[in-house]
Amino acid sequence: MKIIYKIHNYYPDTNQISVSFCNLKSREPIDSYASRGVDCHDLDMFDLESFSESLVNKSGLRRIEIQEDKLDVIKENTPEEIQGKFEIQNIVGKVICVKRFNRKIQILHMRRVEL
Amino acid sequence: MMIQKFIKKCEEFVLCGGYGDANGIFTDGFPDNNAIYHIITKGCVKMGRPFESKFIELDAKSNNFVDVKDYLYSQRVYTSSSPYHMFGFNAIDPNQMWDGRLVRDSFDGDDNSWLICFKGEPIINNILLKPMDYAKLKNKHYDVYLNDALVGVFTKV
Repeated sequence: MKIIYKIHNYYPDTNQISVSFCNLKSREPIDSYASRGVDCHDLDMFDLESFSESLVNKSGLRRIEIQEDKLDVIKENTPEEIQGKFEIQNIVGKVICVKRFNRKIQILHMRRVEL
Repeated sequence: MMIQKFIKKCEEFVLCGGYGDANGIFTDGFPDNNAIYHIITKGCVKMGRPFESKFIELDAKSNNFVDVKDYLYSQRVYTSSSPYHMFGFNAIDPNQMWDGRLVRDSFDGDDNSWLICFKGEPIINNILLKPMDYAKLKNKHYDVYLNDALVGVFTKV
């Protein structure tokens, strides 16, 4: 199962986001799903992959479990490829795809550097 | 007994890792585990095929960077005799072969290679690296102050 999410707003003062989730193959645009507030204090902010994993574990799985997963991806839900240093402001408004690993396996925090 | 596994898909390879306690045992193998090099930064782990007498001893002090291509398509069993922290370098495409080596001194790089810092804080081309930093190399010289770090270079062949 692949999950997408879209952060509609980030509130730096409270370190919260409003975010909607749906299945990658949802027949409805992600914007049609209600966005909910999520507190970022206990999310993994190391990089995009880590952040996405922790966000989905905290909130996303629970909210998409009733959605079907055997449908094609519609244009509006096609996720973007994000590269470079992770900055949460840079992903606000973008569709991000999260590939779920076995929950027993965590993300190895690696940082690409230029030598 | 505690075992925690980690994984990270990078641009051209996948690095997996794990740590655990002494007297641990776990199995892993193709297609989930494509490791062709094991790097161990703490402790001792034995790895082999189930029911074979032959095995490899991974030891952070004496055998810490080990070519395990011979086990690529095998089921593997791992046992630890002490608390350990180890990694596996995996090709995304198991048919793609890589040569790996430890960095011991300054060297000339090439654009088919990736460098990974597994332990310590080396200084390479005046950049201070931290554990789990990695870089794509270029066709140029790299000045290395190893500072007792464990650094590997992996080259597509």
